[in-house]
Amino acid sequence: MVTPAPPSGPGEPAAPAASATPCLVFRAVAHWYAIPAARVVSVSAPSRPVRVPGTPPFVRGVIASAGKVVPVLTLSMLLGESSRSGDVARLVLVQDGGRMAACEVAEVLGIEDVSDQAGGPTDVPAAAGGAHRVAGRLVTRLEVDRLMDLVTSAVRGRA
Amino acid sequence: MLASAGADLFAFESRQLGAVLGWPLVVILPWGSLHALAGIPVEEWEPRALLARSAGSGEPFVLRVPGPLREEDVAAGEIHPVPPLLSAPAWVRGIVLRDGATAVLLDLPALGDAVLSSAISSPSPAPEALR
Repeated sequence: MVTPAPPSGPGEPAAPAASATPCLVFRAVAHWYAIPAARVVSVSAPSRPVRVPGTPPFVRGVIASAGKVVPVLTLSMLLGESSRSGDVARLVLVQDGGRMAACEVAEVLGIEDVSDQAGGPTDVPAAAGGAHRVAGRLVTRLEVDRLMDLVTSAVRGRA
Repeated sequence: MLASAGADLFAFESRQLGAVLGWPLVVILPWGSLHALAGIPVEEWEPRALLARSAGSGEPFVLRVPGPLREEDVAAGEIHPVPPLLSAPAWVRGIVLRDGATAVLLDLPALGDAVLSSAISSPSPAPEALR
């Protein structure tokens, strides 16, 4: 849990608990991120993507998943955390409507509740939820729709 | 027609292919390199030349690819569109998914347009092969 509700005084009505969303918490390279679990399709072992010529460096290629072609993204590069991909331990497949992408991540912590309240300031793009303290870590909450929009604008920006 | 470039596999539709020639070329034609296209910084091994015509002008051109090539039938259902999220170039026609192997299907005529406009020309502008 991220933001504990302030303790109520004796005789006072209990304060409404801050709303929170179950999120998958993971590390890209050095930074920790959270994505609402409802947007996560699967977490799997990494498979070698097939590179697609003419795409930006943060697009590692495509993989086949359940009969579909899915782009593989180096999240740390897309979010400006790193200029190269680090260790890849898992692929996190996320979906927003008809858009689907697999994100390379270094470590998965698990599902944690992350506050829906605005978090601390962060300069990470697509981080509508801000930064939160989760399980002793500073975690930036990402929204998948904004993440997909960021991919679209980054790809078109190169064209 | 399937060609391997490094660890990647590329597919070309035979109907778009005029001929497969040896390398070096014995005629002077505009040409591009599959390895340059795929960002592989070494020369193609056992190179072959795929002769085709560009989509725009119909001008002949050559794509140098590593050999050996192999020809396989691909069912239409095995060809998937490139995810729109990637906004791939026009010469990337689709992705072939079959039996766990994935190949990038290239559009040779559209590639020809890019080769003729030098958008993906070989890093060697004056190849020794063009004699």
